[in-house]
Amino acid sequence: MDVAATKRAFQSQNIESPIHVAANGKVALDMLKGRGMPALHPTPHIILIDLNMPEMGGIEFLKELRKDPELKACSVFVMTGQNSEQNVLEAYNLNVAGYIVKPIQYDSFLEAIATLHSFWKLIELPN
Amino acid sequence: MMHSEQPCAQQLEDLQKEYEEFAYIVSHDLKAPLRAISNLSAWIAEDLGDDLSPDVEKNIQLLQKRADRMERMINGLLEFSRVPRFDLEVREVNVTQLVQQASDRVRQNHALEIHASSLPTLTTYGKKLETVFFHLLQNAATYTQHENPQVWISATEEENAFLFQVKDNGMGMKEETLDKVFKMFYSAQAKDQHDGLGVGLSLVKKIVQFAGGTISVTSTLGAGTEFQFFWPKTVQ
Repeated sequence: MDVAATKRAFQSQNIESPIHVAANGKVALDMLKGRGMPALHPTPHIILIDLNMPEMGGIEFLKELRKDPELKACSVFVMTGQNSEQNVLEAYNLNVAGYIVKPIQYDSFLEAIATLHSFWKLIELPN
Repeated sequence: MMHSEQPCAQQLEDLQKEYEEFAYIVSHDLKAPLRAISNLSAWIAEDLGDDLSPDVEKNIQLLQKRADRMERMINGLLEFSRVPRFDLEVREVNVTQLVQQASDRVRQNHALEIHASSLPTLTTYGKKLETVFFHLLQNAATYTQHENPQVWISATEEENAFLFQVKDNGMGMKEETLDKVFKMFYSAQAKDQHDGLGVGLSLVKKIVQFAGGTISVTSTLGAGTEFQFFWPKTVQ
């Protein structure tokens, strides 16, 4: 559902950045590090994650990501359904670029993606 | 003594765990399908484009409004369940300032004139008391047809508690609805007339009870409503 929503929002906002999808934190790490598959190239510098995922959740994924010298500079945005204070704090302690609570309305989601897109265009990212 | 304390601590821990699980289910698991319903209906409308008939469009809008309402109900339920666990900071509270803060929040969306007199300063759950005033003022500002909505707030010092009175010049309520106003999701007004969820007053009652006080209401249809609540002077 979230993947479909994101793809749809990218399309309607004319965002042409390629999207790579992973089912959970572990698969995402495998894809980024090239474990059991060729690593994604170029390395995606922007990562959107949910916190609640099977096998490896968002927080655990972030911990692993920040340990990796090649990947620790990635900008990670949390997009999740819950805003428990503890999760927000934990995520920012792992230097997320933003914590966004998924809105119920698709229109609001579209706005959030549009805002993120302008932000990505504005900022300089490492090569 | 050890024997009786041990199971009690265990019980508390179990209850806390159960609560965390409940809050998670409410905030996460119930919202995910709701978001899907809302998104899918938006996509259907988008995909139909010009083929979208006015009837279908209207129904889709209704569907999304109901999904929104349900989200707000879920948030209300969550806030209700958080009363004993959140905003527990105890500090010195100047109630005049507190009422000012609460009314500033209400006045962002409503017109409301507030007359506050002789309000005390006490050491208590500041945030909780502010939430109580916020919802009472919010109700006063919402359920009114008066051209100049006003609220009068006063306090009387009793032996162990302050008695706060919050009186408005709103539309008032019928006698028979008064005992239901503190119930969750109950609203004295029809849903199509007001967007109220029926969460505010149940939250208010829960907070007042948590603080060790009581709340009651009197009302005259067409003239206004008055809430009275006892709020203990000290935190037990």
